[in-house]
Amino acid sequence: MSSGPRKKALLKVIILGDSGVGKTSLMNQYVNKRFSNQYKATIGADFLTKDVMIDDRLVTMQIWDTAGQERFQSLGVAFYRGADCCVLAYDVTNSTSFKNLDSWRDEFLIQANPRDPDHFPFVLLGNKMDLEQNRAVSSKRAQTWCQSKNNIPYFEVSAKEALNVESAFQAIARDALARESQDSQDFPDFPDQIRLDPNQNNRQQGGGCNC
Amino acid sequence: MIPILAYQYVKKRNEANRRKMAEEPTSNSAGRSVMPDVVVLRLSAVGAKNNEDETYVSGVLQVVEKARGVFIEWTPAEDSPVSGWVLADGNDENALLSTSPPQRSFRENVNKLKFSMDVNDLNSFKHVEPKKGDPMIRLIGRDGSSQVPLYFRQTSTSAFIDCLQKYITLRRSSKDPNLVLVVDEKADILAKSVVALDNNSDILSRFMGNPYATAMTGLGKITAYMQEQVIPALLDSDEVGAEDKIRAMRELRNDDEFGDRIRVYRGEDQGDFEVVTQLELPPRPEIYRETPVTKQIWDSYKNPHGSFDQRNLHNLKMCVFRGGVEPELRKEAWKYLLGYIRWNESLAEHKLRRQELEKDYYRMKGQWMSINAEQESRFLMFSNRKSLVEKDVARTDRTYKYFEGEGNANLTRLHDVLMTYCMYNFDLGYVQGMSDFCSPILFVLEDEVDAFWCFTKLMDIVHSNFAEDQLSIKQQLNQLHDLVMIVNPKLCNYLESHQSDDMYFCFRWILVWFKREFSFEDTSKLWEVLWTKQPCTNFLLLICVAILDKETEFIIANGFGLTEILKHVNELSMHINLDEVLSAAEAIFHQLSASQDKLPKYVLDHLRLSEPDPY
Ligand SMILES: Nc1nc2c(ncn2[C@@H]2O[C@H](COP(=O)(O)OP(=O)(O)O)[C@@H](O)[C@H]2O)c(=O)[nH]1
Ligand SMILES: [Mg+2]
Repeated sequence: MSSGPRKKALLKVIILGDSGVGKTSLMNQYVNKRFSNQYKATIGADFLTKDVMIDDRLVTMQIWDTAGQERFQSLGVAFYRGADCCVLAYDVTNSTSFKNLDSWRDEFLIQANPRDPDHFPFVLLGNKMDLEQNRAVSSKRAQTWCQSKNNIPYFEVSAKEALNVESAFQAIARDALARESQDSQDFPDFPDQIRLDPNQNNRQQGGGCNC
Repeated sequence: MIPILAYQYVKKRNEANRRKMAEEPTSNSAGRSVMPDVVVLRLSAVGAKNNEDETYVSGVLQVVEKARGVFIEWTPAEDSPVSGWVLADGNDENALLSTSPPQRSFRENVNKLKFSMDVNDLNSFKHVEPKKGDPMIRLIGRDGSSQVPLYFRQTSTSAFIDCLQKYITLRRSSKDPNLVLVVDEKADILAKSVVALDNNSDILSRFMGNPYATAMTGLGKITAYMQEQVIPALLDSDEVGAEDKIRAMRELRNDDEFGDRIRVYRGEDQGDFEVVTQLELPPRPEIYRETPVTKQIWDSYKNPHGSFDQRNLHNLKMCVFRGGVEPELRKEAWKYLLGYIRWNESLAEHKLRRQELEKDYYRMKGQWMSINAEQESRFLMFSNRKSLVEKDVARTDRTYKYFEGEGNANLTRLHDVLMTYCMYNFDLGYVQGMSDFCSPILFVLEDEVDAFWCFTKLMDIVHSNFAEDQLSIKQQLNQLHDLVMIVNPKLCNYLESHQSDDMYFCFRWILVWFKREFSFEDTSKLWEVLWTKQPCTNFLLLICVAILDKETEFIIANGFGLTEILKHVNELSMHINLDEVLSAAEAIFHQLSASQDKLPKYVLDHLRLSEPDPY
């Protein structure tokens, strides 16, 4: 029989980074174990879910993929809300994508508006490590950046060759789980307990209606 | 709740630990007793439909009890390929545009279809039993995703459904007879206690009375929960008397769904609502699509010199609107529909003008081509655009034969047209999504110069979609919301109480005019229909309304929220019947147009009903 309807924790993970660094490829490699060089450029937002075991706990990871061009970020930020972990991705062969990490991180903190921004879990992925011969950003440089941001964990990965993708996302899941447990202590899920908090919801549009 | 240990772990995270985590997540963790999986049901003649190429793959459907839970699993049969299944595909487009890439093996394609789904993740399933042919089941997950459709070949579906009922409670949707919902037991229990509350239903009225206000607080969740779980459960419960049901229903259903008022949300101003009396739209007329315009019909509208008579133009456009044009005619018709060749221009005049346009194209092409690497190193904007174009060209419609394979000359031409457009329109440059607009144009026009100029004409229509401020997109999404409010207030209220009334889930539809939702052939037809600007300039929005209208019961019955709606809408891609949608959109147009005097003015403006024919 079924092991019982024990509620699975839902971990919401957002992947951000410049267009073309491989966000869609990473997500698909992790969830579907596939790489295709025929993925289309992402328009709008989408997500994939995957069940994973973390320390004997079954959790559902909901991984969000968005379009990389900045102008499209102003829409769809509603999906940043409630994120448990933010994955920043850059392309190790493209130094611009590395330089833009700061603004991706800032943008996320502004839009998602987590309660404790200094300790919000980020993870950095340097993708396309299979293209070592074209490397433009050294591991050292990336690690230094991570240290300066409160010790963000760093992984070099390849969505194409499936290198390190699994272990990186395991770490992401752990960070997200830690975050989720913090959060759900504050906002338990209905119907365990009903909580009224008028400050909790501040959607970007249409909020503040006092009718 | 979640063990605090996990949190502490992160506090002292270190690399050594992390390496340990690399183990396969689905494998049983150490220390747990390993239980063998038990197959409780095995049906060996269940085929799946591959939507990419409309083929059927035979396979095995199993229900398996595992240590982690109960799973519904479908795997392709070892001996497939396709195993003699009849392909029920009348579309000929695949002959022209192969959708199966050569480098991907058949086996890989088939394996992509296999799935394993936890029964606890099942939200509902579509269950269709046609009088003729195989019954079909399509599983819908809690996240809004749909699995591949399964066709039960020699067996009925009852063994499978009976088996599922050992683990979950199922109920056929009262609104959609083809939908079977997984009932949340918690909801059932709650429903009973709600009835027990009897006269205390004012608590519920408070939840239900004002979904908008409650959505602004944490209560939004409860409102949705009540609407989706409690009310249907209440209505279906046998323990509740008929009278009680009616009373409960009257008290629980909010005015907005069944009452005589609708609220219209206007623009960006927060809290600015206008109360309008709900329109009773006239019944939706039956609309039939017509056959595509042939070369012969098209030519019959031409003067001897090749220009078109202004007086007959409206008729011709209506013909294109009603049926599109035949694929062979596209190369010519698109030049006119996009305004590259003027309707009143003779062929000789155009030929002359084209010579200038050709020179102009190569002049601009030469501009970006002459920028060398050294210059580029001091021209960041150019270099950013160039790399964006390169990246996007490499992932635009690569599964179509026309753009298939490495070193394909058509890719180079797509790249060159887009780069030259950056020179033509410096202010806009290249923005993602533009390659989606460009690729069908290049495919149809073939000639690089013609394709470029037609592309500029198309960009004239849609450039605001790509503006830095995204105001136009936001505006169109708001307009869509207003239209849904008029045409389908029930859906609109549902979206509001599920944090989805910003209509963001339609972003992709609007940004690239459904390019990602339809095949190349259907996209071409849709676009030429829209380029006629008949019967109103904003017909695109009515197409959105028509699709959402069709999905209403499915979305509501499944109780989808913000994320599930987005997932469901994204997955509609390649599952939308274009002719059906065009007919429905036109029918909705007639409904609205017949109610013009009663519609708020801004709604008429959204459709640009009042605008005269631009030609
Ligand atoms: N060599 C290599 N190419 C990759 C890798 N990951 C992605 N790509 C390619 O990089 C391009 C952009 O990938 P995509 O996942 O669409 O990037 P996104 O815009 O960040 O979602 C595609 O052409 C991919 O094939 C990788 O690990 N190695
Ligand atoms: Mg992407």
